[in-house]
Amino acid sequence: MSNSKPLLRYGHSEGRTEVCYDNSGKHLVSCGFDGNLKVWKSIEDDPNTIRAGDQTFSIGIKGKTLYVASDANSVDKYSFPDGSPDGLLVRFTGNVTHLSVSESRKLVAAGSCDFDIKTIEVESGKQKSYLGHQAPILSVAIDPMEEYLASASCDGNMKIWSLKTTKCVNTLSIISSSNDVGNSKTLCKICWRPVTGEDIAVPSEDGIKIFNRDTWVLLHTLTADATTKAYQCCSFSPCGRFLAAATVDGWIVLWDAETEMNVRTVQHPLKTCISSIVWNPQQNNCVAFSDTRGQVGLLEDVVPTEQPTKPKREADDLDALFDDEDDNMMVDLMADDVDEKPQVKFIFLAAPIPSTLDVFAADTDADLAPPTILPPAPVESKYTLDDDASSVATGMCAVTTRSQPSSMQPPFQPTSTPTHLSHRFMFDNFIIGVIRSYSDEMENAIDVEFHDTQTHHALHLPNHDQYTMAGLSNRAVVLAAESTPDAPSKLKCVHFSSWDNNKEWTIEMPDGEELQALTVGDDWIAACTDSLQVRFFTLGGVQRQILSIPGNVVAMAACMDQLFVVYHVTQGFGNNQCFGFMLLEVGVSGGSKSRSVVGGSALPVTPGSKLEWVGFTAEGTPATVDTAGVIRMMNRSFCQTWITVAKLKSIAKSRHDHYWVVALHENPQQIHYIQCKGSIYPSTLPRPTLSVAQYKIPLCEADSDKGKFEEEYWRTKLFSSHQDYLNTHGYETDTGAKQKTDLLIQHTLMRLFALCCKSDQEYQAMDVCSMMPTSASMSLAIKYASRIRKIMLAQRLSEEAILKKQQKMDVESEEEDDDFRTELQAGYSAAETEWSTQRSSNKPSSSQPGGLDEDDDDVMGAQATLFTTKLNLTSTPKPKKVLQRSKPDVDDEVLQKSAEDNVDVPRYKATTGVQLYLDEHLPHLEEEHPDLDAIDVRKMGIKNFRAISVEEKKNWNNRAKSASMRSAAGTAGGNKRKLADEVDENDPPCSGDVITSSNPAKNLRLDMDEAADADTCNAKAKLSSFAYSATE
Amino acid sequence: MEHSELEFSAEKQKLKIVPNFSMDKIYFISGDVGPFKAGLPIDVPLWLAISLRQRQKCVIHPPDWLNVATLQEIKESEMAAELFTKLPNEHFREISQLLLTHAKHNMHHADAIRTLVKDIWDIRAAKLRSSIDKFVHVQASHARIDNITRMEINLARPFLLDSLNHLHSLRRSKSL
Repeated sequence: MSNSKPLLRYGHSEGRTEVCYDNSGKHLVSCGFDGNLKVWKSIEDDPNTIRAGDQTFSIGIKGKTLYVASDANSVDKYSFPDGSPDGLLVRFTGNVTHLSVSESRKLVAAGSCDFDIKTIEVESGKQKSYLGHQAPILSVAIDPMEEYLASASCDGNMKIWSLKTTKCVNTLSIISSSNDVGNSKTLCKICWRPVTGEDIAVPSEDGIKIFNRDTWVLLHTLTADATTKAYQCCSFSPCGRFLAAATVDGWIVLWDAETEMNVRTVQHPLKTCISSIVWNPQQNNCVAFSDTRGQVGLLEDVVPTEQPTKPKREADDLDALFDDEDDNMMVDLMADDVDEKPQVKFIFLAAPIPSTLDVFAADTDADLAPPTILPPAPVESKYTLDDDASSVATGMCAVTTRSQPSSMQPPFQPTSTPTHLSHRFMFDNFIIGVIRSYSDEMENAIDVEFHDTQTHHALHLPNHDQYTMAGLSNRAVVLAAESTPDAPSKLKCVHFSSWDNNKEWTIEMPDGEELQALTVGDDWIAACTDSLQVRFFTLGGVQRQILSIPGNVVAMAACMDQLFVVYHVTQGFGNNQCFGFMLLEVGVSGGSKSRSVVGGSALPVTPGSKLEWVGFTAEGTPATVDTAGVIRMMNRSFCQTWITVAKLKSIAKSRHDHYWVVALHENPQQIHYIQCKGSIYPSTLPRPTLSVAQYKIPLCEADSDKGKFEEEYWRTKLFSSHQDYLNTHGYETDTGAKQKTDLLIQHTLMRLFALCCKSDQEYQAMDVCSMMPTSASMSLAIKYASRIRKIMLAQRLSEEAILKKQQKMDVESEEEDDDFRTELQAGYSAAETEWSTQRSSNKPSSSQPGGLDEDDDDVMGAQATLFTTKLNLTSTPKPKKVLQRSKPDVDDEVLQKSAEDNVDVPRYKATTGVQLYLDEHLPHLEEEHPDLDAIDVRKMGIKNFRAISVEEKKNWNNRAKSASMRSAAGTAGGNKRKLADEVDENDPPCSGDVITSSNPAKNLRLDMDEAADADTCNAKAKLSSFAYSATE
Repeated sequence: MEHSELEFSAEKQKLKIVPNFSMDKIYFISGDVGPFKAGLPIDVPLWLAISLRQRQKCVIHPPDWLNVATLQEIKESEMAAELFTKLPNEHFREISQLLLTHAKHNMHHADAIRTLVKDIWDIRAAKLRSSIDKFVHVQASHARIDNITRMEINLARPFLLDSLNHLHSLRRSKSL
């Protein structure tokens, strides 16, 4: 019986509009900012147009006269319905904002921008002026008894005037003040109860306020749970029984004014601000309204015809009705819902009235049922945009006020503009290209344009199948259409890079599945349907895996081999959304393996906002933009968490501007957006121009120097983390860029360090120093600290540096151990050995050609071997401990500490040529240089070893080999494999090879660091302890 | 100086284009340009913009002042003022001429713009002629003109200098 969808017609250009009915209720007249009056016989017919000026603000009809407030600062009369001008009624000094005609047709009241209100007697032309408001008049209303005049103004007050004396009777503050009608939060169109005028309804920000006549006391405030926005206008039905009101966000709410119950809530399909609402004076169940887009709408059958007059009685009726079948009354209620929607809704909505609640609590104790027990809300599982808006709304109303569930964001294609636009972007990625869709009377087509014309020439595709979603990669265009009554939902791929003749393929979804999102990756396509399935296809059209996701999809994005799916975990509350996401490496591309990076965790989004863009940066890091303008990016270097990288609202120049993000880049760090002035979506024509914005991580005190450096450091670090990811996944990266960012990080840290030093924050400086990536920068910091006479700091830093270097070498030596262990174990079964238990998660890095000359290799080899031997010594298990203690040169605390981490590795003492050499020569050296500490002595020993001839070296090595053979043989139950290890390890040139092949770059860097350290050492004797491998 | 030489110097002005190709930096004597990224606006010298435009490699964004509304304003103020008004660019005529010939399709209402540019030019030329006329009549030794572009100077100079020389020699012979 109810037609929940309002009928809408465009009547005017954008701006405030107003509608009114003539007395017969047959004609509906509307006016708008285009200056035309339109007379609608019915909403389906084309209206008659009367030209009434450049702009019209308000209209009123009584009898055969039409009063129009136009931009000529006057109220003009027109004869109705022929529309011929009939003279001028009254003139003001400002625009007339609102007018009202009395029921008796004798009096017209008008309020204007010049703060003035006038009433005019139509017959005599007598004018009265009502002065007192401090701002432009929002609305006026004449009391049906013609005793009072009510007016609301932008100053926030409602005034009641006596028509006889023109004196203000009462002033009530009702709304927040503003400076102009256009800036006011509400139009505050006041309405008296018809005929009796016993009370007056005033729309305000927090509901419709009903004031009593004569006492002007607030009787009650009518609100609806569906909306929290300001009410614009209200209107009593001709019988005075119902009150219709409309809000800024397009809700039309109807109350039963007697019982104060919400009868009906309907939302405007476009959610635009409704500026005027009137009842048909003859039909009691028809409401006309108009919105600020210039649309005129009609809502029929708004109230059920047989509405019970007394709520109590109705409840009794229901009680009686359900008494005998109380078990399945809900079922019945729901069944009734099918054809008698409003009535059932009435029951659902009647939450505050206990008698109706009793109905639901019938099988418990009817009278004592606590009011909190509410029937389960018929929450819509599927998000609907407009058709079912009313039922969604009623669902919300049934739940208690504060925790009302928010509507779930419908699925969207990132960078597409809404489907209701006739010319829209389907895909607007400024990396690859743009897909535009045109659907008007002339043509229905899709244009694909590539930014780089080398990718492909522009495509023009006819759009007979109503494709609404699109995806684009530099190899294919993918389109998806929703199902129509005679065709299922389908996917079309234009694979333009294909080398055979079949460039296109189409695939249909199974019955009842609707495509909701799609995306194109490297050479695969993923499409998500409403049955929570993600379907993968190859570019050629072969179906691959299908995947079930836990909730309704919101958006999908793909980049390279990664798929990023955002879905609803559950319905959110209080305008918040509850998103989850998955990040997969799908492995559809040849050769790669599928892997779940993030299996499914919550996606952060600003409270009260929705997602606007979901995708990857050009470098392949997932990122999101929400409607609050916050850009978040996944921080791969910090446990795949999300980090806010920019807030677009803070860089917007005006609050009416909207930044439509189309692409994010990490290198260079750029946000590419289209600036939309006064709208959210960019228009297709003229071709939008791209602007570039910078990221800014919202750290504290970002304006201070320290904050700036910190922000720069973290930003650079964050935006360089994609390089590691790309490297590990076998993509080419720009090594120059990597070096550049490394350099930038060092520079920033040094500046931050200098800043801390200058402000005498030594501990802070130390913290900064510990963030430094290389020891070269660290030594620079030490140099700096000592130069500005922060000796204490310099000392601490050098200690720190040694520790750091030690740890690094530990890690490296371990890596190297792992390397050849893996190689050796290749031939063995995967039995648990002491090696495998100890293995770290370090992957063996791929071998690269070493760019070092022979000599360097040797040196590095010797050094690394030295280090392993050191480790061996300290990490020997208990039986060997005596031996270890007896060594004079290893009681270094640091070594001890590092070795503790590795105690579980049983090793044999001794074992390389250099070690043997040192064992023999160190005591002498120590005697020679009593001033040097253990490490320096050791260093000198190594230097000497390097200096000796090749043959001598070989000699030492052989000796070492034989020694270790012996020691291995001596060990109880000597493990053959270990022996083999040791033999391998004992051969310095060989182990040197392993090191260099495993990580020459690292070793080289180490070497360079040491060279730098050596410089420092020379420069400052104090720091000599740090540079323990002088390479002069 | 030739007009073409002035045009040449005007071509050094930077202009925003949207390339439809991607390329690394180009290293020119006068400075580096690029890197180019398809779809991303970039500032390049006018001569490069035109050369790319001729090869259909870019879309030129005309400068801010080269639109109907701004030119209309300039024209009105030029008509109202007795003296020369300041033009938005020193190479007003050259740039508009070059863009109107080569990047006509990247502009809205190119024909209206062309008319307006011509109008402004004519108004200024008329002012220049009348002031020269006055200058010669009163036999002044010097005059000061502000906000005049090099193209306009170039327009008047060859003839003006010659004729002044002639006048001078004629006057001298008369006084002798």
